[in-house]
Amino acid sequence: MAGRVGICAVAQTTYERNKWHMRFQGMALDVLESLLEQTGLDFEEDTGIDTSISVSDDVFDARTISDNAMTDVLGAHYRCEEKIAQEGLQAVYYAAATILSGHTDKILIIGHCKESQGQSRNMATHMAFDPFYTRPVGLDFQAAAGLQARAYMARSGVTGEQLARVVERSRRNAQKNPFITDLPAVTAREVLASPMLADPIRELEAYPVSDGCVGLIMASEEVARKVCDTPVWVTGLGNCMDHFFLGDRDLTSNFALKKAAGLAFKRAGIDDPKTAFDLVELSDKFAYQQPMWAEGLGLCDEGAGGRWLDQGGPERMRVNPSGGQLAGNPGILAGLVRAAEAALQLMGRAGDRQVDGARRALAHGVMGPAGQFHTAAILERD
Amino acid sequence: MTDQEASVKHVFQTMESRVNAEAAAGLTASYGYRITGENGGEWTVTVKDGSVKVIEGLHDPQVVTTASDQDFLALNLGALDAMTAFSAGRIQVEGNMNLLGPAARLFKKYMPPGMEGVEEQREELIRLNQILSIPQTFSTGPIMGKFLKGLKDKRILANVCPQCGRYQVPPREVCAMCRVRVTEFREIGPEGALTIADIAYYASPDPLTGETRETPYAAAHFMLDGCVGGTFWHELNPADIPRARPGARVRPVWAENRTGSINDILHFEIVD
Amino acid sequence: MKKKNRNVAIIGVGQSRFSSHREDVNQPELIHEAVTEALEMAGLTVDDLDCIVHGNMELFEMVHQPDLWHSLGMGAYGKEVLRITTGGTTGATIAAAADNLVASGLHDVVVAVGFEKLQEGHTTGGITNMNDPLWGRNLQTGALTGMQAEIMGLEFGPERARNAVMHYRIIMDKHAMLNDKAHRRLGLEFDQIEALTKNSPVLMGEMRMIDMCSQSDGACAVIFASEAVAKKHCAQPAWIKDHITVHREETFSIDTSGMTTQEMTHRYAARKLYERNGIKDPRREIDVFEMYDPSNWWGTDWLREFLLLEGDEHLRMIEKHEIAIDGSFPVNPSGGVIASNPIGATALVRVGEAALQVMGKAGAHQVPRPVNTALASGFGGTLWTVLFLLTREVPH
Repeated sequence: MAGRVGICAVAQTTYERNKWHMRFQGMALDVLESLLEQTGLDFEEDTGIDTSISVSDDVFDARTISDNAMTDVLGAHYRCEEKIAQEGLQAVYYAAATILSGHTDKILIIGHCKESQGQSRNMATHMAFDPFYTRPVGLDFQAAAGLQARAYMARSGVTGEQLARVVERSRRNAQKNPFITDLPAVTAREVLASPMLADPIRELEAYPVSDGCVGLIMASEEVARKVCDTPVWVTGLGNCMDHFFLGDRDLTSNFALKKAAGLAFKRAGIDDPKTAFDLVELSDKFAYQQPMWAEGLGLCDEGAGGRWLDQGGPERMRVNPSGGQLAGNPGILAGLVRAAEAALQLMGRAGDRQVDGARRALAHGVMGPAGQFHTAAILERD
Repeated sequence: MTDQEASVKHVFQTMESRVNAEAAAGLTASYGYRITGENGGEWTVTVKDGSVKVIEGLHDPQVVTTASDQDFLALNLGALDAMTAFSAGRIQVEGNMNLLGPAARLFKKYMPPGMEGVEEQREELIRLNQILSIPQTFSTGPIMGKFLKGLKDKRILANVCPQCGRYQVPPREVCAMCRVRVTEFREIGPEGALTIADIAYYASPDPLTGETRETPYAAAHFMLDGCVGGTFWHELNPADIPRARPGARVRPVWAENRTGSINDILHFEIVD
Repeated sequence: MKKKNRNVAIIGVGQSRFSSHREDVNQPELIHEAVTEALEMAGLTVDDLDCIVHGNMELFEMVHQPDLWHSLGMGAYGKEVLRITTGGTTGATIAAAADNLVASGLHDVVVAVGFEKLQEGHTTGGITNMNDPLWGRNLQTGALTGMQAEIMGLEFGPERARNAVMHYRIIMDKHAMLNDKAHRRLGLEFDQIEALTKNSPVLMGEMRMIDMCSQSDGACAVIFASEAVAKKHCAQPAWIKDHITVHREETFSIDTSGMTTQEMTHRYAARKLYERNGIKDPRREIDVFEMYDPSNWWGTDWLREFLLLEGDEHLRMIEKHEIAIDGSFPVNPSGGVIASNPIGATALVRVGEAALQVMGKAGAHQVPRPVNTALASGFGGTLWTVLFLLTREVPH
């Protein structure tokens, strides 16, 4: 990629099951104040931040133009604000493109979502399906994930026991993550005993309903070096859309993920994803997605997800030191949280979950039924 | 005009046999038609208890549509679009316009004499009717929460920007102009002056409940006593619409049962 | 201050037919109409697309993350996609995004797809939902307001104000009659002003049905290309010189104390855009303006804002028909938003129509003078503005 774009500040609220005492605006303001403090930036005309990218969803917010509520908090009064209405890692993608285009040299990104606001997030994702065929059949993202999990486990041989250990490890890592505050550790046995949600996916294998807010400041190299001691460069980006109807796809092929990752690797000049990264933050909404996305990202060979798990692949490759999405971030923000966590790691600010000497990380986001759409980003420090 | 041609008279003659039961259910209304021209006439269509009656003449209809015989026939044959005709002044409507919405699908498509059988073949486009709703629990957060609690106690609270001093009501987490957090609250009003009223004669039905607000109603801006830098947007008592003048003194009318909602103020009324 | 990494041009524009109900197509099919037309004009195929930018407003059609389903009609399989929405301005925002994406060097060919199928939802209800659920929702009736008419009546006298906006309205309709894609084409004449006004029902204040935009179904696709691709495939591309987005806080509050900025975002955006592009006399230096005009009251008032005029100069321009297609400052030769308003697409249509004028491809509604510079605006949210500047000459 021509030119360099850096992440120069990261802030998050805690992610909880129900942040009933907070409104979006309040959460975003906490995040914003931290970002401004980290960088010393302001919103002065011509010298300050003049562009912000928000991330939120009208259905989850139950509000048309969900960014409408946020303009004043984002400092976007008489400034540019654009809303990524898609998975949050796309905000990093779009911000990088906008800075590389020369249109601006610094961008504020803040995403918010409260999955607890609606009665059921499955009711929301059910609406992603077309009204004539896939909706009446009763699909939502969870049911679609169940179908993919079954197909993946049949093809790869990954077992329920292996996935239960994925959850166990995620919860263990989450204990060291100060932004995950109300998620208890669980044993593999407890996971296997938890009720079935969408066969073969069990309750403890699904990411918990989550509320929270996350933000970044991204800038051109010149500005990034001025406002941050340890800027994190976005050196590779890629995304890809698969077919919509599940029957048009091979649910186990990772078609879109491979393409998205391939584009990101190419743009970053990466040959071997197995050895290139000091850590990986991938969006595992359900436990089966950890080994499956690992295959698609090339962290292990195709079909070898189970073996990779057994041989301690996730620990060795430092996959999801934050606890990953299984630890609970709102679904539409997950990829952005992954990027935020990866950036914190490269900045050396990851506290108890720090991967020592981390220099290059892979962040991943996913959206749509059974991973119809994936985004991958590569982050590096000097 | 022979009996074999499409005509305004035939449109009305065939109406009762073309009723769509689902559209008629739950609808009680009477529609008048004044069709001008050589081949026109007057008719009243009453809908009640799921049944539709068409009689000649105008018999106290709640809404009357006037159009020329040519335009009315064209409308029914699908050769003229209703909204287009309406906007261009070729259809006129007097009375309760809101009743027209529910009647839009009252009748199956009109077919000229001898073509009735063709109708079933034509109606092949699939249309799916659905209401989608997800129950919500909205949080107020501390800023809006304090304001709403104030309303419960019959107090109107604004918050004040520490930098420019402007008041915002309802209070916001920040002052958008100064881009700073706002924490100081002050009580304003409750009385004030009307700045400007926006009078609504057309209220669209709530898509989830089907209910329509009574019109006219007035959304208005009030500059409350003690407030500096911005008005409060709420409702003016509909009865005061004829007296609404910029500068008129107003006071809030509080609901008996207050729950900590914006509706704890029913509306503002003009003070004599 | 801002240096664009590389040039970008529009080389293809596609629009579905705009109508009150396109019951003959489902959502992806409607989009497909626009995308195929754009590709045809650009002389490209789906394989040439690198990235697709999609925008619409979820709660109108009640489809969550609709780009997933619409991928069928957009040619998005196997491609990179972005979905960006900003209310009514969405169409212009995705145009800005497409411009940024190509300028960044990441992509050579990007299609922006704006879309809405308003008859599949409840438009006014959907717009009312943009308001805070705890506060303003009970007050708002969609996008309707009589305040602009009230304010203009106070400034210019109600008769002159009404007369001017009716001239504006009829000029817009005459333009729409030249555009076979337009939704509402009423065939209005100037001698109907009194009858039209009298017979049109009042909606809010003095805002009548005749004054308001339509609710339309429709899709628009605009292809943005790098300089190399544009020069190879297009005889006269429409170059994107610049764009600016200006949002504002969600609350509407009237402040007569002078403490708060009351300048419209339209004027602020225009000022900034002209300043940084060396435009000193927009009325003479701009050859055509596709303005997002949701009503004739706003269209009239915003003419003053966008051209940085004062007093009644804008009324005189309208009274003298300078804004007509063959006038000295043509506005909305396409018929504008009053004629067709598929909200998610509408602002993109403004950019697309401005591009068609520069490209010389507007057919019957091409302005009869050389178009070297075109302006296009998007409007939405709480009085937000996106403004685009397009040129015939390659920018340096």
